[in-house]
Amino acid sequence: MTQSDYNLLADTAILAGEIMLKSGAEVNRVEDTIQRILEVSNLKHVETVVMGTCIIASISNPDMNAITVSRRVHAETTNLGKIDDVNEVSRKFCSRKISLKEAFHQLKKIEARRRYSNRMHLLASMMVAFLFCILFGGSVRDLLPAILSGTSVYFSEKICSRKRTAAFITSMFSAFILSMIAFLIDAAIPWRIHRDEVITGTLMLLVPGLAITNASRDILMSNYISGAARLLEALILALAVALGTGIALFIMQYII
Amino acid sequence: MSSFIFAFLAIIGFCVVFESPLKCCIPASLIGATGWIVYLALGRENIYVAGFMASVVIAIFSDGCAVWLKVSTTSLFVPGILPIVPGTAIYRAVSYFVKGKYSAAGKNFVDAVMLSGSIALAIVIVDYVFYLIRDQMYRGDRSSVKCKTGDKIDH
Repeated sequence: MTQSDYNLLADTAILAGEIMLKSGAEVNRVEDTIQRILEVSNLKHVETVVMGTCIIASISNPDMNAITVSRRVHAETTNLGKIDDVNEVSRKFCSRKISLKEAFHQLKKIEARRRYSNRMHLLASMMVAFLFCILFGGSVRDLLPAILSGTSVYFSEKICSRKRTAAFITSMFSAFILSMIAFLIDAAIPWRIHRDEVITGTLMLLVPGLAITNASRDILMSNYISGAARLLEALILALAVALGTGIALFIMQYII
Repeated sequence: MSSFIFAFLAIIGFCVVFESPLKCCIPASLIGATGWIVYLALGRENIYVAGFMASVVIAIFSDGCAVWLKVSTTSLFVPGILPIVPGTAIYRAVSYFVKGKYSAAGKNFVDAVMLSGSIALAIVIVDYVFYLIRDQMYRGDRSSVKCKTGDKIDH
């Protein structure tokens, strides 16, 4: 292997790690994947450090210059499919079924790909809002408000991701909008709806389920820094949801 | 039965929101709906125990299925666990707080924290057991993936 091959290997490994970390994989898995890809080089030192928002990987041998790559990772939307796709590619690469260049190109493709269309996402948001509303004790009469508030979450998240706001603001804004819409519809339509159930059902789109899961996994695997960061993330997101809803409730208390 | 079906469909919705792979959607939803039934069945007496047991069930099934389907545990577990994540408790806490009923708000807040804690505890326990099992199973596997020295990566 030449120096440029090693460079490409390091790039591939860090790209794989970046995609996984962005999509919401736990730190242990990201570290493991990068380590496995880099170990294909058979160099003496292969080191990987992954923390909540950064990746550092280094390979070196006594007879060559060390290659160290670091990456600042900005969290994006959760994308569980990408994690599995990257895993698949790294598994194939490590068992020598595909070449290094092929692996790099496949990873590039994965990075750009989206599995479901926007329309599917919108439909899924409506579905989640309505069905959770029913699970929590609502009825079919809540169909309209649930669907509208699910739609509002989809669009407010879309707006916030375009403006690149912080996750805290996104959650708070979405929770605020959805509660306002539920209240307004409750006031506007003639039949009675289960307003609380509509709001909680739609809130399920915003609760930090992934953050709680990842926090416990990271802490279990002794990645305390990332684990603590995720725990804080879960707490902050829950707080944001509570705050957004609370503001809406507070305003509506005076109007209605 | 109807709540099983509704939970199943709701979790399929979540699978799409989280862009989980197509082959995960059905298993994840079945697992999640089973967990929700467990939660409902036990929830009348003690919601913490119910949350814990439901999370254990979901975690065991999703860890098992993850090995079988060759996907990450997360993509099965996260959509499945969401019905149990305490969104309702958070909302109730806020709504009581706004109304000035602080003790009811405090109770719901504690519920939310404890329920999240029991989910985390379930993940930790089940995951660690599966981690040990997998470690035993694949002990030889990892060294065979590593290639011999001097091997070249082909282009």
